[in-house]
Amino acid sequence: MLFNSLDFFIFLAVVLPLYFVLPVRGRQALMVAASFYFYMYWNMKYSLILVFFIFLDFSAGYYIGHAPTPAKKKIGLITSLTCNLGVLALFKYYGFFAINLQHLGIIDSVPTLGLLLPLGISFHTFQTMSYTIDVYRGVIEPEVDLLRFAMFVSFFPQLVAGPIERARELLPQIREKYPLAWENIVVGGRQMLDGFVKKVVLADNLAPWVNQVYGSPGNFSGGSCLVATYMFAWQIFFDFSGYSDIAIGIARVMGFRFTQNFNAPYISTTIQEFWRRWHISLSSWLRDYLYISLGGNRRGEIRTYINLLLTMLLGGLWHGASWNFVIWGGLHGSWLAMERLLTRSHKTITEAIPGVFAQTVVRTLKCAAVFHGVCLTWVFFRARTLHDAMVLIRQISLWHSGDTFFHDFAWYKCLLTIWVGVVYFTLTRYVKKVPLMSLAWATATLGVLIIILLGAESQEFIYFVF
Amino acid sequence: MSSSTALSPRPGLVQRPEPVPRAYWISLALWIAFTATIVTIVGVLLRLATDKYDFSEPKLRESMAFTGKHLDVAFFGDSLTLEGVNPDVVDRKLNIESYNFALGGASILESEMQLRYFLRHNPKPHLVALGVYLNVPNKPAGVRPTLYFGLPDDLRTVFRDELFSHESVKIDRSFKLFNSIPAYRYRNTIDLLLKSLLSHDDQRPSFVKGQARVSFSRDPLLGRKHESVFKADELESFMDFCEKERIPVLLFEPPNHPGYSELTVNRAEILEKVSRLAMKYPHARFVSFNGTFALGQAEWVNLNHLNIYGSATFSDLLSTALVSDFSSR
Repeated sequence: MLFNSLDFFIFLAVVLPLYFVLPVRGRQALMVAASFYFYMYWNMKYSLILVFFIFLDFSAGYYIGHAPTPAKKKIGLITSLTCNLGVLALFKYYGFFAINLQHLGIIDSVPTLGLLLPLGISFHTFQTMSYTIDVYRGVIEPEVDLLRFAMFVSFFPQLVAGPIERARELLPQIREKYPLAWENIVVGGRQMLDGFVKKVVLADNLAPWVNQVYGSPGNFSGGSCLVATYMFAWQIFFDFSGYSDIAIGIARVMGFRFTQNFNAPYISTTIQEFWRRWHISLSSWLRDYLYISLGGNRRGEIRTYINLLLTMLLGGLWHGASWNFVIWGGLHGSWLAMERLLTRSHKTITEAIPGVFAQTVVRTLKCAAVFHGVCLTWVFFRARTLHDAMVLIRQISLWHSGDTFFHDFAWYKCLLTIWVGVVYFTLTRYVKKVPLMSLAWATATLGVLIIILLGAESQEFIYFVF
Repeated sequence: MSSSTALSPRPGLVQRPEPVPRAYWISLALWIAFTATIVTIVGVLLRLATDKYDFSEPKLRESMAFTGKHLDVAFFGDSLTLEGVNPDVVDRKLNIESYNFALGGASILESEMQLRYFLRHNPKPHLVALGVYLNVPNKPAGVRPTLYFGLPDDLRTVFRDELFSHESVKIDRSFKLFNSIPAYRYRNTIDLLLKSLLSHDDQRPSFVKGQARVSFSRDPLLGRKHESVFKADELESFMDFCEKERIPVLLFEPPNHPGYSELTVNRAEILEKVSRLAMKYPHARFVSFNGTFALGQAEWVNLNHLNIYGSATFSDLLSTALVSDFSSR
């Protein structure tokens, strides 16, 4: 079920009022039932995978928490991780590895399994894995209530595309009974509205241009390829952060506080800062459960660089089973390592230059450099094949001539739509600081109006396929 | 990746917000009423603008109101026919009565639905002339709400099923709900208003016997090579229906600006397919007017639409293709 569909609004209109009239246990049962309905709307059979994860990690957590020796705890953890990653590997990576092994001549033929990629499998696998790891590390006590645990795994606002919530944050909230609170309705409702504007008005209006160029990059001029890449950078930001806003907003209306997932990533002046601002729930997951588990920065400089690279390579592979994502992660990992190397041995340029104006100029230049670096990685992320990515980079770097979309009237409309979106967000930011209720209401009306008037044909969320 | 990254604080875990006071519910209700009013006002304004600027909506409403109308020729098609076929010229030349039912961006399926609806309330026309656009770019198919909502239930069901089978377009609850909001339904008029604002020419059409007439002309932009996604199965369905109703059909390809057709990489294949299809039916024929006569730049609106001058030239030529059907008059 898409957040930007009428069916979801009907679903929400039924679930939310029921939620508030029920006692805590009833709410938990309702949320599990509603979440399974939400998931089964996509595919009924595949909801069994969710059931599997719930029973597996609930049992594993219980076993780890009550195991008498560290060795037995470890066995519990390894079993849980193997099963979680095994399911993920089967559905997501089997085809990729099989085809590559075949290309390398290691195996002769690839039997096809004909499996669909379960919606949001990467998200809920990581969420449940963090639970068992936290229990193993002694960060949290194992959950003793299966219903609460089922709600933690399947909670519909964040089930298919995050934010990846930690058990230590979400489970205590599930135990609470939040009343229907005005503050939650207003703050959550506003965040949902912001999310819809980002998704329907901004991301979905950018999508056709990006699809056009990335569909056949060889036909388009270097300028069009470059603009399409900038557009994709913003499309994916609006799409994913819009989804996160809607998810966080829905949860907030019910009283839950989710992790902030985006924090103006394109104003970052380093790649490290970018990862503190982009998909925060994933980057902090990778840091806490992968980078630190690999040794982090505690095992010497060389090992730190290797750990950074490995973490980001696996982070790339988390997004999808293709070499494009591996390269995407590899580029981010290499830049993180390079940044670390440079900033350890030298003062940063901003620190070395005196004067506020000069520092602002340098900051702006660094920001532009990081944005362009990230855009380069987006080429690999978005292109259908590695060949397409290389063609697009060639078109841009050699400034090849070719078709362009700048003369199309719809292009001006797209620019106007973006401008309206920017005005909306500028206004809402301003209005947040003004305690005048009427202004807040007016911008909310504006939000509804621009969704109706400028919203594009609904498209799936990009991160649904991960 | 930095180890200093921290999760955001969760004040909600320590705060217990108060339940909602009654006054807040009232202000929420007032906001909903205010927003609904604004959306309604915008909808009314857009509806008014649609009547002035839209190339299809006013004439679609006009044509759907026909009852007992006798027509010799009913022209169907998309914007090329809508702007290119002048029924006045045809009627004068052949001493007949015709009407241009074409709609901007109409699929052949939509034309079939228009014809089916027309036949419910009016006698059969002597001939149906369908303008076919062979260079169809790959765009998602649209459904015109005024046509869909105007159809009786049984035709709506046919339309819905055919649309799903030919275009994979689903008419669902979202379509029905959103299109019941005028601001949403007429929002495409914003494009026409913008175009009008950005242009020095008067972009508003006038309608005579269904033809949308404009008098301006702009330099064409040829665009890029593309593959046409002409829906031959929709055409076959249209032809089957006409055959069943025993109505003769003239399939015609309106002219395109020189150089434009060459951009369609699979044009020859489509042309062949349409010709073969026309030959399959005993009362049908296909004529292409593409590249068969010269038009001056002042006769084009843009790349492939004709203005009032070009349409007069083309309609005169089109009449000659109809002479044999009405030779006894």
